[in-house]
Amino acid sequence: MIDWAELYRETCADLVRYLHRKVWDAERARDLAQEVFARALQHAARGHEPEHARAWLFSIAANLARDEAKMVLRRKRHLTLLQGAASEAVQPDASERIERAEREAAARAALEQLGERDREVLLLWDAGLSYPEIAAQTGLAAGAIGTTLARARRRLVEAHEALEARHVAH
Amino acid sequence: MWHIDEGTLHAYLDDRDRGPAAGALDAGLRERVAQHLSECDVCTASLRLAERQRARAADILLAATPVIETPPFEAVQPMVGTTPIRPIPFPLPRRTGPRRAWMPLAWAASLMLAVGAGWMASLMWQGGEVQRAALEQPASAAGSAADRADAGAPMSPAAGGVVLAPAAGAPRMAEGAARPAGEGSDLRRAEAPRQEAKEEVAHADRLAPVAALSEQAAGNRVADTGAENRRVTAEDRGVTAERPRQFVARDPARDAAVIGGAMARVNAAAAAAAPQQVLAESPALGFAARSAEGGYPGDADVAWKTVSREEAERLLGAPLYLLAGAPISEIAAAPQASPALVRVRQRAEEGQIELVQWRAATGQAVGADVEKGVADAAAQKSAVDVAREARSQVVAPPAAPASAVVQPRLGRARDGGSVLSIPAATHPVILKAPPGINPALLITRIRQEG
Repeated sequence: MIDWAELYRETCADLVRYLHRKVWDAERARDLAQEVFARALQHAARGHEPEHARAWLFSIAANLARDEAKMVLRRKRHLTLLQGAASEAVQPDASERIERAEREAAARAALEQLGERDREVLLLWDAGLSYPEIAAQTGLAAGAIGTTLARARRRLVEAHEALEARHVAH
Repeated sequence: MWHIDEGTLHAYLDDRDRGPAAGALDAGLRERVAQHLSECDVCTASLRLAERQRARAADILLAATPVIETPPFEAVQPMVGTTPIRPIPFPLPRRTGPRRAWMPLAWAASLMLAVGAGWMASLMWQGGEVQRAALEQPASAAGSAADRADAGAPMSPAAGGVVLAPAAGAPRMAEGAARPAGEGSDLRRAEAPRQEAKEEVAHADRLAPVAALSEQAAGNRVADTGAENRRVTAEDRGVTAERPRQFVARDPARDAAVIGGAMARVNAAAAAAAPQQVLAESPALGFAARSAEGGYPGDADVAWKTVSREEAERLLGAPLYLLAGAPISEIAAAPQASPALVRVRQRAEEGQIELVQWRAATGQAVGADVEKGVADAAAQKSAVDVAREARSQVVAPPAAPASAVVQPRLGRARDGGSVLSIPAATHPVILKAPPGINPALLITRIRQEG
């Protein structure tokens, strides 16, 4: 029997972090994390209790993030009125916030340069899943997770350094 | 001499950091790797490189980590039962076929596209015929322009007013079609310039087939407007073309795809403990979202004076809508405007935002109030304004179906900031975000306390 309250306390922050790196909106990531648990609880109420609950939650999260990405694409099409909006006003007292946003943008850009599978494995590991759990979720062989992670980390660092170099050049 | 591959080195490091729970290496392999590392300088150097890469990757990911505040588990439980069940495969199904197995069917899609384009072109051509007929009858065209405005269609930005999408276009259109001819002739006395009427009819005709097709494709005809309304006339097209497009969604409070849907569910739990109304939860999101394109009440030339929160809420007849977590820098009101406007300025992390709100008048069409207020302030009433104003006084707000959500429409304020109209539960609100910030992203944070 799964202690869902305990699982929530253990996993929710990891889920939010994982989802944030998928949808890039902290508020939305938090909503989605709760949505994940709501769905899981609903399934559990119907007698479907998974063997690996934590990995199962991340499966649901991956599906929700995929749906969210599609929705964002649709929404972008609707928000064309905002295109060409005036440049963002820079406030001197907001320099720290801007710097943080730049760091996040650079991390996001570097992550987006990874292959889908590499990125997924890296994010799942960072969210706290074990090698067997990542293998179960991605369909990779457990023995291939180390190699995939190594490649993903190397490419992430290279992409980030390339972006930084470009930024400095400008 | 053999060397350890990069993947095994990373697995070794992961295993070392998280322990056996990581499941990265089995015990036997871990021992063999450790033994080899103690003997091989090449692999030890590779291990150092892998460690650096690992640490650097973790730093990069850390930069993409938000401040995480997780709500209590109790907030999730009320959501259970409101979430639509979907089968969740576990593990995720592997792809079995070739990645682009659908490619051979691309020709069929191209064929369908060509047929569809031809169909649309023929409809456009027919529209052109009607347009020519309309231009040959300028008097009736002028009447149709007035009727179109009368039917609650948005005003063109050039008219200098707020563009407001009707709460539910179809019922209004039905009303417009069923209205006696005498009322239409009254409106014609507004004497709209003949040339302007021609241009509007022509514009409407160009848009009409597209609007009709998009609605048909969406399967979202809100109300059957009757055979009379389906007549292909210049008037009818004028109404149809300006009707805001709608898309069908499930109950907004249960649909994660709707902005704020999940937030609404979370706050439903909190609402039980403290009386707090959440904007996103309100069925107002199921009504029309109005556009402030071409005008913004905050830009209107009205005299604002600072008031207390109590005074502002008295003017509104309801608690203020506020952006949660953002300190209030000013509450001002323009009580002499009609209707009285309240403006709240807050210092959000994104910059200063404004929430202009006003009391919704009973029995008036949604949007009539602010439209009137801004139009009065601008003191530029065209014939179209007069016609629309006349109608807003006599038509009760149509009952919008709870399942229909109108696409939010955004506009621009005078200073370049973006504005978003929100038909909230108790009264209408226009949110203005600073330049460069999308106000739609702030909508889930708007709440009503008290």
